[in-house]
Amino acid sequence: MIQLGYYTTTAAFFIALLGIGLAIFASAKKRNDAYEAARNAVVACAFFTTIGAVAVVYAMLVGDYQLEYVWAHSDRDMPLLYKIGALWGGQAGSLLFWGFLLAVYSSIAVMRHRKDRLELMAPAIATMLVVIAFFLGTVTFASSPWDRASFIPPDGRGLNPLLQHPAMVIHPPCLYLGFVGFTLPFAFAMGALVSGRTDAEWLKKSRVWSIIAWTFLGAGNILGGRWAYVELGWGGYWAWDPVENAAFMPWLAGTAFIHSAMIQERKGMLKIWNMVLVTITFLLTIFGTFITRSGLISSVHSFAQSSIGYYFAGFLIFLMIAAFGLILMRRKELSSAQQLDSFFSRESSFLLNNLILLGGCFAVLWGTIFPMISEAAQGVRISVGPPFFNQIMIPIGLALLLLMGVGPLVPWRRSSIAGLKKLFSIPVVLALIAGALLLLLGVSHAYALVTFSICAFVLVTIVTEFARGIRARQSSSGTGVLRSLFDLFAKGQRRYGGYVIHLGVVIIFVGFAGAAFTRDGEGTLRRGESLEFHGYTLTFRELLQNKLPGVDEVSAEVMVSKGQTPLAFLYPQKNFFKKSEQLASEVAIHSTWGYDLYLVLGDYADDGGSASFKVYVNPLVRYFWFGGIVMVFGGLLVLWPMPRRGALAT
Amino acid sequence: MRRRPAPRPGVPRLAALGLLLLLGMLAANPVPTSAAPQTSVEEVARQLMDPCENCKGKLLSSCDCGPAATLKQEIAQKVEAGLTADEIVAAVVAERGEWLRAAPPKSGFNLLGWLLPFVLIAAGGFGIWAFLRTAVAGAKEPRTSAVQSGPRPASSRELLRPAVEAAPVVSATPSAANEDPERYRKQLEEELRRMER
Repeated sequence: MIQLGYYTTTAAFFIALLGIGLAIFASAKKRNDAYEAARNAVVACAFFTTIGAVAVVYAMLVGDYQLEYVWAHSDRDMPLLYKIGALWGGQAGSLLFWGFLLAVYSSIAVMRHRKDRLELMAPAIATMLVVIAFFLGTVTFASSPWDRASFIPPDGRGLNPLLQHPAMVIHPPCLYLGFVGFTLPFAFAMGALVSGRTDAEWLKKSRVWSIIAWTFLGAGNILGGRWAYVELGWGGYWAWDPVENAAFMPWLAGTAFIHSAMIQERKGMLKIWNMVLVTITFLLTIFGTFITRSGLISSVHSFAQSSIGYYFAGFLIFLMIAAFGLILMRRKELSSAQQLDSFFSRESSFLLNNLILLGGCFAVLWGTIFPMISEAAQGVRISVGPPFFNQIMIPIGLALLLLMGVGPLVPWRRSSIAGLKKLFSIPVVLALIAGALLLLLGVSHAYALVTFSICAFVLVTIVTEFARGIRARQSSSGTGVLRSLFDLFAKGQRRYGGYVIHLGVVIIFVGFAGAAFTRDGEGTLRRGESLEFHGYTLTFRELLQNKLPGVDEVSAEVMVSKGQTPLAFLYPQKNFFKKSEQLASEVAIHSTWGYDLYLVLGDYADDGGSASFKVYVNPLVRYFWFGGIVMVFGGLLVLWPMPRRGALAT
Repeated sequence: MRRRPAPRPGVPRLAALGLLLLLGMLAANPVPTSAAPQTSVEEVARQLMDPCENCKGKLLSSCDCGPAATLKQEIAQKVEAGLTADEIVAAVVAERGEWLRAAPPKSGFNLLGWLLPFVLIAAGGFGIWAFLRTAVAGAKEPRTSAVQSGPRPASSRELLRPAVEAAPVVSATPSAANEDPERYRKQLEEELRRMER
């Protein structure tokens, strides 16, 4: 079974190469038989790569430790889920996993679009297969999970302790589904460029795939934050780490693309811009992997580094030349009539939204690579850490938040100053009232105050939009509120699903603003001693030791109380993983909607007589997670198959 | 017919003024990494990176590893000696290297790092303004002048024609057309209608 995986993955690589040739031939000669064969090649790739991925998981499950990859990333004592998750816990496995997801994704896409025209689809399939072939090629020739040692070790070394967390079973697949997902819109764009069919057809084909990719990437980012929060023990969920940035950049560019695509669909404008945006988004997914794998930029998240990064660099350069070369070649076909009725229109607000999103994306990219640029220019190694990103990104984020409230209120085509005044009076006044109330309640931090006020503004605009829609439905069809709400989603799925996504983002920003009020401190306590921290009393009661197969756990029992009222018992841990000889912290969190009390165990006396703690009070963190859930839910609403209009009418 | 009451002109102005005031407050306040009243050690630790190579990219304030603890002790001694946060950061950086500074100083070449994103956003804003001006002017031009100045925009039916003629349609192949030209014509018409919808 395990060897079969190797052979099928290698076969998939060669099938992908063959498929590329067939797709190019089909495109050049307009041959349906070759087109069909290329399509079958994608499906065959998916089938064979699936066997490859299953074979590696099978090797983990049966404990074939002669396979170096299995030995390095699993052991007998690991729970089943982590053994499965070990597939993407290291370099070779994660590349195989990427190739597998991409092949499956692409095969679903080609089957879904099997009745579509050859001209656009054949080069799109060639593009998909080029990317599949690259990943399978790296797995086959550069970083193989099937390399065998000359002896059979009795047990594996185990998965990196930091990766042994439930979020890590879901977080990487979500990110990969996001990264992989943006391959398809890119492929359709390349199909359009090669075939010269530069109308909105490729955008229509891309729509659902873009939203799937965007939703997964968003979910992946949030889950990554959750993992960092509970596993890394530094009190936060986002540190502007290069790997976090690498996953965030395509999400920003993808968001810009999804918005900008609407203008082309409605007005036939921005054809070149959309091609550029989808290309940037896709290239950023590869760039992110390049960062993670090359080791050029150090990160707490990169667990798989090697010279393979240079393969990614080469591939990136090839893709850039090919994609931008095609865009340049087709610039005449892509040029469109530039006609807008007014400066003040939904179209203009989308353009501003694109500017801010791409500006943010560039700022993140710039901050990520600036240490290298600075070292090359000045010969001095510098760091670009959270203080830099916070100063740059907070104003950009706030501008984006503001636009999120402005955009939906401005009508398509045209508006007037008087019309805008009418539209914005109530949301702005309510936002100012919210700001004033918070000021009266003692919130004096400027950024937090502005963030909360803008959140209120956007919230009012979203509620207003829903209220208007429901009222209109009620007056036209006489239905109740819930039925009208359902009809709104059914008829304007994209629009109202989009508003739910916006709502999620607003809630996330509330969580961000809470970070302005974080308190942290540290202290060493003897057994029975207490520490007063911003209104909370933390009493160290005892040290508990638990020896499990493969891991020694040490946890401190800490009673948290406020005044005389006990709130919770917390058990922050330090775990020693014997096989990998690594120490990992497990933080303890008392979470409410108001704040998180976040406790990390530091050093301790072996006899349990004393222990040191790091403690954080993190306000409003729960809103970040909740906002993430709402955002993903909004994405699912947009994607959910709703009854057709005819069905609704009956 | 009932008329909606006109919005009071003072309200939007008041709102705009309030928003400006809020933004002014924002501009007047530097961005803190935390608003908490900080001990000096914490304040300094938030401006420095962790010196440990294993704790890649972490702030000193958020790490408990051995090298971080040693550096924090050094900082505590400097705090006790009465040095300000800036002086301590400068001393640590001078001793251990510029890379320990969590953000590059806003001077010299590093200023490029701080300013370029905003410069590009401003340039992009100008580009959008120029684009909008052209686009709005384009929409205001009378249709006849557009015809005179350039080729007439083709209808979607016209745009589709060459592609339809050149390409073997997957669902209706040329052989199908030869076999049943009437069915082929109907299907073509149907597809064109669908495209124009």
